[in-house]
Amino acid sequence: MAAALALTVLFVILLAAVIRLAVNENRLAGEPAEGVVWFSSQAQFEAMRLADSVLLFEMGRVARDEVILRFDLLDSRLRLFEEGQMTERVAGMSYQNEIAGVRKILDGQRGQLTGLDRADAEGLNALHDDAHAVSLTMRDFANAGMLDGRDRQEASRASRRQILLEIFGYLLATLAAGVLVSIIVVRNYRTMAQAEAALAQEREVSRLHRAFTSVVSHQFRTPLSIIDASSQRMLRRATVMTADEIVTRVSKIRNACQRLTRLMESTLNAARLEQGEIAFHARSCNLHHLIAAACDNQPEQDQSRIDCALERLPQLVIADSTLLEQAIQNLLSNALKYSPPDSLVLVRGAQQGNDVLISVADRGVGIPADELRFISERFFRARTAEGIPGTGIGLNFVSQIMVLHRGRIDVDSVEGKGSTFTLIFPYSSPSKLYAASSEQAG
Amino acid sequence: MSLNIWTSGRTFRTGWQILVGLAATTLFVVSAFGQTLEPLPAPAGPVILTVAGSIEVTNGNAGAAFDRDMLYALGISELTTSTPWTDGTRVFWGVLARAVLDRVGATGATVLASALNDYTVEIPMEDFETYDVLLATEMDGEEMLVSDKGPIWIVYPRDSDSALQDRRLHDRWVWQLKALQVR
Repeated sequence: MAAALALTVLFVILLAAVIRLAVNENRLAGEPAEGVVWFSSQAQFEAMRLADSVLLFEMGRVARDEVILRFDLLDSRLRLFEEGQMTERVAGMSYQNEIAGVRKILDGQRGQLTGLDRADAEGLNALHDDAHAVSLTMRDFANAGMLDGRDRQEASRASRRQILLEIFGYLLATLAAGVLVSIIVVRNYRTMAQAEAALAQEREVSRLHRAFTSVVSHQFRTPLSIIDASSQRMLRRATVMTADEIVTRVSKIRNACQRLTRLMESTLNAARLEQGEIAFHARSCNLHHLIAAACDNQPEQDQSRIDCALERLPQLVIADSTLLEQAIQNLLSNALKYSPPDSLVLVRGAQQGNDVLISVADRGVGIPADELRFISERFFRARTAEGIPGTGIGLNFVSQIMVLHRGRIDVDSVEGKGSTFTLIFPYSSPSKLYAASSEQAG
Repeated sequence: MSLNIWTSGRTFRTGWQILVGLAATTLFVVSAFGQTLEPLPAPAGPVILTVAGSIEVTNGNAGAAFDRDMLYALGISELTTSTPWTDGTRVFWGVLARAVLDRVGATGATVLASALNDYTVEIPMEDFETYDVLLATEMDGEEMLVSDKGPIWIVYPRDSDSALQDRRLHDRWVWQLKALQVR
């Protein structure tokens, strides 16, 4: 605000300086171009011609009219100092008295002009001497005019120089103020953009929070009600319950607890990853072992449905084994969950060019084509997944893990026929890592 | 005054002047373009302006000489303007330079204007075509004397066109004008 005010003030001062410069430049423009020197030299010339014509008239070589003409011409030159813009210069040079003196001489002589007589030597001499005196006055006036003009030009030049310097200074100041204003504007804009981004993030967090609450409350209800129902039953039949029945009930409770734990873990993992609480540690890991462990972590009754073919998959790669295992586990549990209990889930691995590909294919419900592009969004669940428990967090987590590995997740799915999810990330051989670290060590 | 229709710098005269002109064909000067201009009578009073050079109509060896009445017969125009050499705005009376040049059938690009003291300046013909330049003989209702820029002062309509306020045009304001030489 202050900078903008300063800028405005500077601009006004600059404008004023430019106007002053223009006024300075125009100060001479109003005057007749010919100037005092030219006019007075003209008057001097006419005065001398008048003096000449008087002598010639006396000698009988010119008529009286010629003398009158010369007198009139001198008169007209004198008038140029008595009216119009030149009077200002005459006053400026304090020459009014001299001009008035010449006027007095001319007025004194004019009455005698018509009666001018060749024989009147005294009168002619007086006219001649007056004309001569006028010419001398005019010569002095021309000299004074020259000096005055020189001084005025010098003053004008000095003034111009000073104003130009001022303008230069104001320009610099205006420029500086402009830069300052721009910086402030940019900073304000940036602050505003940051505030907007923060607000948007806040809104997103709030939205996610609501979605999370809704998903979790829904998903947690089922296992909780299983635990509750089994517990009630055991409470009611505590004395009459057979050992088998107790085992079945407790197994149900434990399964429900496991499910709750898994739910908790997957949501917490995703949140931690998002907040940077889970660090990405790339190190050498054995993909074959990693995939086998992921299979082992699946429910026992489902493990026989998994068919792995990993011959073309490199054994050792650089990756975060914990995260990668989590990703594969998620894909596997999804495949088992969304496909019929008797169908196979195929796990394939290969190296293609510089990429490692690990795919998990099922023959399950599939994902509608119009929903494929949303699969990695948090809390997204395909409409074909309705009725099957899930949070919509798993695939989002997998996709984040792939981003950390500078890779991506591809999905190929046909509704009702099944889906194939493929993890694709750049292959980096541990030998390179070793080579790099040994080079550094050496 | 007659209506002037411009054609390549020449004029056709309309109205009664054409009829009178046709009746006295033998007296007419016939130009190369077949246009006719009335002959100029000899001046009866003192000559105040002589137009010479590239003109079609003359009334003597010196060219076309005008006395005051002959000039006034071409039509009086009024022009109010300030000048750098006078105080305030002044009302000038006189004949348009264009009318004088038309009257003598002047053809050329420039006009040399000379004053009683033999000051001479070159004025482009274009000035007279573009602006209503006056050959002023009266200022504020009084005949201008030689002792004050008379008998004729070339006056431009300075106040009505800022382009005419250029100091470099001031030398064209010839006072004590005595002759125009068309080239």
